[in-house]
Amino acid sequence: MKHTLTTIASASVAVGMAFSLTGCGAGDPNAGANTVTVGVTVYDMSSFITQGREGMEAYASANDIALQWNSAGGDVSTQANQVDQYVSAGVDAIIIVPVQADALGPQVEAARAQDIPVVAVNTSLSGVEVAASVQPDDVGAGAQEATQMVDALGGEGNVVILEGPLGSSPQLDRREGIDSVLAENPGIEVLAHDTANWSRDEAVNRTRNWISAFGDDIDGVISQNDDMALGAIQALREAGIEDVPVVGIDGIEDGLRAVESGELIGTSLQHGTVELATGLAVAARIARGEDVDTEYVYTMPAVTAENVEDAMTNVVSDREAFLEELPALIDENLDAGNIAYEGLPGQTR
Amino acid sequence: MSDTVVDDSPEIPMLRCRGVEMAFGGVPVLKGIDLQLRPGSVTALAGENGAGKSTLMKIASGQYRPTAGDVEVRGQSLPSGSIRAAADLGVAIVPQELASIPELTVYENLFVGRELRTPLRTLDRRAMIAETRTNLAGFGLDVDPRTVMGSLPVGVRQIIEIIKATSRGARVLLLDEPTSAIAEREVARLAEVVRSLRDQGVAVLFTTHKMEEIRAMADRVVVLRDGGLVADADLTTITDDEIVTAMIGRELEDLFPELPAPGDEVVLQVTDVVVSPGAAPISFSVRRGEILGLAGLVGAGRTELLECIYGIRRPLAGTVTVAGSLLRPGDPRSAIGRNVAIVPEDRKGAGAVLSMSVLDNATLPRIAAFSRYGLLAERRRTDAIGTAMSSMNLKSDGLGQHMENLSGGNQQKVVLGRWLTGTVDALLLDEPTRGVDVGARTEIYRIIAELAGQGMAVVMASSDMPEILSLSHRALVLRDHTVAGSLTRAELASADVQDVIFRLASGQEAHTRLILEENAS
Amino acid sequence: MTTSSADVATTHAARDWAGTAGNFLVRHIMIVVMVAIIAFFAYRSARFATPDNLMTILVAAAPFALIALGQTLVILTGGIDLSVGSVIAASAMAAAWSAKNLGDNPLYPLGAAVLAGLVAGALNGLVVSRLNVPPFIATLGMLTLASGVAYVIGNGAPINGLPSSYGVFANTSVGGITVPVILMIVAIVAFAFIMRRTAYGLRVYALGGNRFAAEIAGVRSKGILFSVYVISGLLAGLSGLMLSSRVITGAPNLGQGYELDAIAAVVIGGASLMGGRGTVWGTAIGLLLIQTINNGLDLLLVPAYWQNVIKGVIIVAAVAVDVWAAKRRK
Repeated sequence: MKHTLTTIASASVAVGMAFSLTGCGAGDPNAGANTVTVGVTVYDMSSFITQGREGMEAYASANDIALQWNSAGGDVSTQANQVDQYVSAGVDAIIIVPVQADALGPQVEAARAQDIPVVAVNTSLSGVEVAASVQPDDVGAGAQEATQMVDALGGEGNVVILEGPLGSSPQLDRREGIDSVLAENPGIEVLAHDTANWSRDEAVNRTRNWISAFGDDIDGVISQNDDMALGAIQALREAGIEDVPVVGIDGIEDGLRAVESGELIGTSLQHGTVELATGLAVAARIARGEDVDTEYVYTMPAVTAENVEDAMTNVVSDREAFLEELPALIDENLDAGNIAYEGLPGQTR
Repeated sequence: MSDTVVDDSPEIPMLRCRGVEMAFGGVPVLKGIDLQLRPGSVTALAGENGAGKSTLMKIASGQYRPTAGDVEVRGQSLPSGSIRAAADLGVAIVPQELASIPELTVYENLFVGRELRTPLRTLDRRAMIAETRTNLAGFGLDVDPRTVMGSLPVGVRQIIEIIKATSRGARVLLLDEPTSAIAEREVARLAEVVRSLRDQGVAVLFTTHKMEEIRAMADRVVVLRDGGLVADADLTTITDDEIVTAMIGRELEDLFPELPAPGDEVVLQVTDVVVSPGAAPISFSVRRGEILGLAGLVGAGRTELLECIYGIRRPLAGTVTVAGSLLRPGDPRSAIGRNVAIVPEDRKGAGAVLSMSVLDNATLPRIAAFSRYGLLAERRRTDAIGTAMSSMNLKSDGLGQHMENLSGGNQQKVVLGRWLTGTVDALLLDEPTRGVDVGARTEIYRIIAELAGQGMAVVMASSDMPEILSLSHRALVLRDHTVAGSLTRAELASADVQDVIFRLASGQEAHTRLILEENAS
Repeated sequence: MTTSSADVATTHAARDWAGTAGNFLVRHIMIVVMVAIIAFFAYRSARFATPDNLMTILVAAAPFALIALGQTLVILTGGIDLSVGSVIAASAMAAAWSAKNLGDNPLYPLGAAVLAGLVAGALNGLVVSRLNVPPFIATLGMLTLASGVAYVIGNGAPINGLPSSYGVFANTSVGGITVPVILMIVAIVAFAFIMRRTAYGLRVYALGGNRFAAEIAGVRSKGILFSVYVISGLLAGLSGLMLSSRVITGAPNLGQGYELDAIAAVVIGGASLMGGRGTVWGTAIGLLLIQTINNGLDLLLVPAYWQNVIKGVIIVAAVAVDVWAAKRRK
């Protein structure tokens, strides 16, 4: 707050006149003329979102942005209400991390009618035109993990695939990526594939049943996220099976630890801190009238035994230092092109 | 109603059963019953529980398909097993457990299923209310048709059920135990309704095991015993003794046992107990071996008084002591601890847990005696309860049998006999023979007398006049939740005692005192 | 008199034994269903009838067994406990939080889970027995409340990065059998004994069969009612600890919908939702039936959502067969 007040004092003198004439109309009475107010609505509070919020807050305080924050608790209509609320409050930009892809058409239209830019982050909003979107490359992540598995098996072997809730866009996209790689590697056979609904608890039972069904025939487990991969690792451990490679996506804390210990051959880091802060940066730039691209793709960096230590530093162990450098990192990324860059070995801008 | 062409001339029986036989799982329940009901007649179907009365009723109303034989209604064969066909032919049954819907109003109950509609097909409530009012008035019932059914007394609900049946065109009316759940004064009104139906040419058949009702309502009696028809006579040609003999297969005098002489020691002392707000306090004492009868009309407070003594209900004032120790008010466990036992009126609702076995039911009140460190002592309880139940002459398939599969009489024996595995000083009985057939009754009377003989102080609430007269050493008549009068053994034996009790119970005290004084002198 | 009463006792004992055999036959139909399902899976999959797979089924069954046992007691009193799924989540989160924040001592998560379960159960029990709120409503409220608490504890997110000692509860083996499976077996045997052989068990049945009659016979109904909800809560707490210890994480959506599987197991086991009827062994069979179906369908690679469809049909069909058989026996 102190920070904001000093900003107001210095900025209002310089550009106060111009902005007050056009009427920035933000809800925050303490906000200075150069402050932009961004309303955020997220699908629910997950660890991905919790990380992302920290990233957004770090970026916001460094860039004179007032954040308004709401979680939809997994409910589409709640999210619609929250967007409506932001529109009537007259915020400068809205960030939506959607509950589901094919919703919120009327709300986004209403925002457009008020000239409020909408940025879709993490899940795309189909059928409506948004000002910009920041999307993870789920197809690429699926291909990346399948490649990691194919390499580990030397191109020959039987795998089982644990999937997210069937029909959800990350499940479909990651599956598309996995299938594209497996199609080029006829030596890999899929014994079974089914959903464990992103849940560690469900994955452990499903994998154990597959172990019952196939026994030693299972040579590898491809999981569409880390939680289910960790469930599979537990199931293998319980069945006394060693040396079966497991691969995941997301790079959650427990996933990174499993990569460290070698239980997980690799994962793809979908770093909420970076992804959501990028979304905020894009939204703020649009609100300030700067030129931005309309589509940013977040390409998840591969995490393996080689670079897991650095990923761990950014995600868990030295988080405060990472958050401090984050605003500068995000701005440089936007200028350079690779928005997923966070200085991991093997990553390039 | 149906378009069936029917003939109500007195020559054609309204209902005719020919050679009706019925068996459940190979066990014969009805053995070749021939029965005819003429228009404008009232027939009592008498018999003990288990004699086959209800089964015959259900066959006549199309609920059961007889194993052999057939049923004709007004010359038309009743397609067996179809309630709807029976209803179309004009046969209606008012079951023991009333089929009214307590949440709906009187007129809604009367019209549900054949509602009156306006031209717009919406409910024509006004017309239904008006028609209901006419119907009720025709039977002398002054009840607002918009009253919620559940708020009415059972007796009134029953008459409304009868009106419901006849207003839908019933010409044969079957009443299953119509008086089992209603107060005595309501019986008179029921009798009036039945007579008025008879005068309209309806054939009425009702089941009962109470002699007074046979005389009050019927003009003919049919007696079933063990599934066979043992008597069928005009009431002018048969005596009460002959009817009872036909029902139980032996003489009436055997019904009640000799009463043992009471002791001197006072066991149960009730002092200034106030049962409900505004009621006068009640005080009395009962000695060892003494049976105190509690008479009164339904709602006089007999059950409430017993509940206050036992602690199911907390009295507003007063104390109860048993063998010198004070009971904690409102705590049944205190009463059980002081060797007080109760056999409640509502056996299914309060006496027994029907889903449990005889053994478990009998264990409950003495659970502490049958367990150590919380573990049940299987042998000990099986032995003790086995002994108690065999002394009760219980007829069951063993202690493991579930209560719900026992007859009413045997259930009552369990509810009574379960107290006998330990000492009982005071025994509280509430309507001990309600719903119990005559055969089992004599046994329960014998057991009650025996228990008194062993030194228990017994308090017995009963609506059955012969029970009060023949099984009590003394009797209190209750009215308005307090004592209206008391009668000694000598007074109970006097010729006009029934009249005295009725007057006390109904509040015509001035006259009563006179009679009591006359009796005393 | 002595001789005759002894004779009577003997005949009663003999008949009692016959009654027990009869009771076995009453359960028989569900055992027949169970055997038929096992036979079907064994015929379709050579991997089904193996010791390893049996252990797989038992390990998956264990957390459900605990809540199904608690549910059995509650249902016997004529109540229902809808909150167990959420209590699992809340106690798992409480356990995970304590492991992360209080130090690396397994007693903390154990204490936290047990405490969370007991508190939730005691609240349910107080509201039902003292305030006379219908159990359906009381535990529906607790379902929402406990789920909220689970999210509050994790600040909306799962708790990651737990010490490996957190896995000790679910992943320790004694003689090749893991702790949850041992706990399940001990709990089933213990509760079967309690319900059949102790005064407490008899009182629970009496209360559910006819509360008023039980009170007249001297049963403290409020205390009994309170106790069954506390037991159900405690078992849900332990179940939550087992589930989260197995995968060494605290997830606020853990156990979601588990209460329905537990209720299904109790009902398949022949219990009446009106109270007074049902057995612990029946619940155990119902539980194994559901878990066997889960396992067998996975082995046959039936897609997950189809599994739910098939499971739903089998649950209703099994109870329908039971009702039909009960009618035939009469």
